[in-house]
Amino acid sequence: MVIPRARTTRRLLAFTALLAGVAGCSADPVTVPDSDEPFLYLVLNYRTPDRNMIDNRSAQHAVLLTTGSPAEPVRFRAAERFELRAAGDPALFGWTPLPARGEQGSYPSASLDRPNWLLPDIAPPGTRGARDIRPGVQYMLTVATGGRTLRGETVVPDSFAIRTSAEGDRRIAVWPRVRGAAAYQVEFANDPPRVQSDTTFSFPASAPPGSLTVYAMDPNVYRFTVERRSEREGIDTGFGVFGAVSAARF
Amino acid sequence: MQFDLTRRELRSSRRCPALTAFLILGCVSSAHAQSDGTLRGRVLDTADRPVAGAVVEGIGTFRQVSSTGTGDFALRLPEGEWRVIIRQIGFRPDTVVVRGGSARDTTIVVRLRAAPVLLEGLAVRAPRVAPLAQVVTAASVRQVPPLGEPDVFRAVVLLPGVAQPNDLKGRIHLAGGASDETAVRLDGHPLHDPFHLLGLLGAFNVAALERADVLIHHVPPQIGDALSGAIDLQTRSADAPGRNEAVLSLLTSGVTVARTGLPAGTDLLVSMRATYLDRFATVVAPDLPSLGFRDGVVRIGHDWGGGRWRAELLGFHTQDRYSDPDLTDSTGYEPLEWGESLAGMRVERSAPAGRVTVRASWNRSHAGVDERGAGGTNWIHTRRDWLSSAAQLDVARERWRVRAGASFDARRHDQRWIARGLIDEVFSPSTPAEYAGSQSLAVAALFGESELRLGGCFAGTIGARVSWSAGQILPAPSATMSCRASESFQLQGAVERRYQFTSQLEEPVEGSITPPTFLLPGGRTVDVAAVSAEWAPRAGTLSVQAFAKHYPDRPRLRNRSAGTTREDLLENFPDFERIRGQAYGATVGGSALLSARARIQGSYTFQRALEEVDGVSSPADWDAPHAVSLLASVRTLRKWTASAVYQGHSGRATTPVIARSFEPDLRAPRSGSLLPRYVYGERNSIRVPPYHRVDLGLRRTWRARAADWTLAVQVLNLLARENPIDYDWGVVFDDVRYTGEQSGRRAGRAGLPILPSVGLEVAW
Repeated sequence: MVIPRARTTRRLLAFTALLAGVAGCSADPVTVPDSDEPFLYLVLNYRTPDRNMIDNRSAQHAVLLTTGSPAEPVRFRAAERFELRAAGDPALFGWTPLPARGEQGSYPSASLDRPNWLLPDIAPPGTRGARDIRPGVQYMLTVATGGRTLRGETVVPDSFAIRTSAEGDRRIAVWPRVRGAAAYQVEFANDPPRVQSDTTFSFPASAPPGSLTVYAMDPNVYRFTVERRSEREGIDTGFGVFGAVSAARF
Repeated sequence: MQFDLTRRELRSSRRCPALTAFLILGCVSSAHAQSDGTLRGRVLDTADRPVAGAVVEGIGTFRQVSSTGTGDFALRLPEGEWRVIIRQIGFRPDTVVVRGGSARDTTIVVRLRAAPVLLEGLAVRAPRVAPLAQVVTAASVRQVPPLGEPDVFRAVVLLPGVAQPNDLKGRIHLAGGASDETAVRLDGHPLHDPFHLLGLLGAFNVAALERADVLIHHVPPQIGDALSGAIDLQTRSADAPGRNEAVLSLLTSGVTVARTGLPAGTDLLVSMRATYLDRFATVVAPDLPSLGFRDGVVRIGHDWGGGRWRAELLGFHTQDRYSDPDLTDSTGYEPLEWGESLAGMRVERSAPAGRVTVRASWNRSHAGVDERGAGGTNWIHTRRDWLSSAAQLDVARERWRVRAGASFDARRHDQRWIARGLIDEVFSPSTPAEYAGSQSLAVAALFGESELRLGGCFAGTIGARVSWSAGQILPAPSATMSCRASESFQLQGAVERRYQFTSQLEEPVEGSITPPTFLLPGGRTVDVAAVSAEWAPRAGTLSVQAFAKHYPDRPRLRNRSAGTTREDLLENFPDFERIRGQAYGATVGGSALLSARARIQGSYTFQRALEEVDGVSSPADWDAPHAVSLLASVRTLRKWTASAVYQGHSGRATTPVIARSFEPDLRAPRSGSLLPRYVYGERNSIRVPPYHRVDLGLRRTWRARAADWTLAVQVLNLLARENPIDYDWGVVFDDVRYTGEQSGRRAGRAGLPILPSVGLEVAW
């Protein structure tokens, strides 16, 4: 059977156009999100060097940002109130804002080393400092920022110590199950840290002292950083986490 | 066509005593009715060469036989006048009218006219396939411009209802099912994951294959563990004349040797293929990872007892190797290797009235890497063993046909790894960094299917596969109905339940090996319904199909939210939750002879794959509602054949980012970095841009030095389109950040670039 060429060509083109059209009809536009939601990262007892301080001391601090757009730099956020207090203690902790940095309070990336709220170890009279944070105590947070109020609660895990024993060329670290901890973040030498529910860790006996640090993570920190099921833990609105850790080093 | 008639005395016959005797091998040879006569004949081509493997069937009966290597056949027919159809792929079917019965035997000679194989549509009408099945032959696979190598898995995707997510994933989705619901079998023996190059290519040398039956809407009950269907690969027919083939391409070289008529009724098929990609790539660019593969098939067959008995041994092996250039020179580094090895046997006892088949196979799939010797901490060791066996009886009469049997499968999975730095490179994203576990499972099953001519145009089958696993009995009934209203028009429908006893962790991502796969003692279920209408006039075919599938208990990795990359704390891993899923759709496929030199084949598939997670129904990861394929073959001047393929489909479903948050870098906590953390919106509620690809292939075959030479030149992705695989959100947002708008060109990882290749085939 021979079909006239012109008719064949027309049919072929029409068929191809139809099929291509059908295949291409399902594109969805991608929108870049932009949000005014506040973001808070405040983990009591977790310390990193503070680049705002001349001597680069380790300090207790917090990062308060506007989540903004992923296509834009990070925007720091001011707060009308930044109040932390321990349960049963009316005294506030002495959180102080740090000067905005970067152009118009923004910075290309966020870092815990560039906080915008600082809690000195020793606070001004009448307020509490970072050294007053106690294990096993419940803390309440209230942050009012840009018409939003974040409220949160956490309990600092108990303090603990690491015991070790030698087994051949290995050393076994053991610590007790810590009250208030959901899991343990183990940092050994330059290895990537690991998160575990186990309370033992084996490492080479030749490791120098100070190589092993164990953080007992409260449930808020664990859920936010490890499980990642929710975008807010320990606070009632916004994004981020209000939690606590306690640490032990060997 | 011509035929001659002669008459002979009818042989005396014996009755098969009882149904129980069906289980006795020797019984089958004597099972035929007293009033039957024998139609004997020979099938030849127009050059008087024998045509092997042609199916000779009495229309309106279930009596059918295949021609032998010499083209001879013997078909028993009852009393009366019968129309007999003779079919073989590559030839035009022919029909003769003969008188059957006890009064006489008849001998005929049938000469089939060759059809232009190179211009056949991709899906051919083939004899002896299950209802609603589609068939792709090795010849038609070669029509499709290949991705370096002709690949049966890259060809079947042009069929309606068959999908591959993108260029870089060769895994097959059938009718909206997940990729691990597609079973792959070789000569009836089950395989694990026969793919090369991190899932890019199938692990079969097309020269070793005869055809692939794609079973989607009806899976015969003898096939288990095929929730969405099966790709049933057949090695080259032992009846076909011996033919050797060597292939030299830019990617691989391979040799296939087929020998029939060896001493003592033995035939041999050996096919081996190896790539030199790993050697070339590292010479051109030393920083590239070394990626290579090899595969092979060996089949030894032996016929005796006048062709009534046949035994086959089958071996299949595939091996891939991926070497990290940064570690290659390190002493003690064991690169990533994966593959599988199958050893199988089959014994068949054939007789005019039926056939008994016993088969058994052992298949081991493995994946392993060890970086500990090179100073790393990562290692992977997975091993999956599958012992599979079955016995099956096929009996046919004029008006009914019965298949019954039993199978036993024993499987063991040993999977262990510490792969902290390898998750993104080797495994899929939700694989935990550490795991060690073993599983064993035994599944026994009884299966049966009977087919009955109901009168008029109607025929129907009813069957069941009843599995026993971990103390549970799982019945899977099935039924089909068909009406051949005329020689060119047929309606078919099927309803069935299926079970599968494995689940992969999740859909593999591009550039990863098969995700860890786990055994499910309770099985997983799907209920399937499908209808089909097929019209096949001489100038082409047109088929329309509709299907609906319900998954009441699809396994899904628990607590895996979008954006979750890995979890170090694992309790009861993998602890699949069971969710409900569904798939539905309709397909239109057809082929047409546009002129004496041109044929076109196309298909359109509409299908949705949905899953219900936390009470919300959303598209599955592989959901792509619209898919179109077009294959055009044109014979040009100087014996060149040009083939052009267009493939297009909707972009895959993906989950949008609705906000940005931040999180500490757990990999480097001392850095103090807060990394962007994307907050995801409704699951799979948007799509990546659509996929379009045009491939072009040219083939020229000539004869010289007593061999057929074929030169194949092809260009894949002729339009050099960057088909996005998925959004890399960091790239998307950086694009907007630095250019002020989303260009789309850098939306994420792209599929294949424009890819020319050339190959030379020699067959003798």
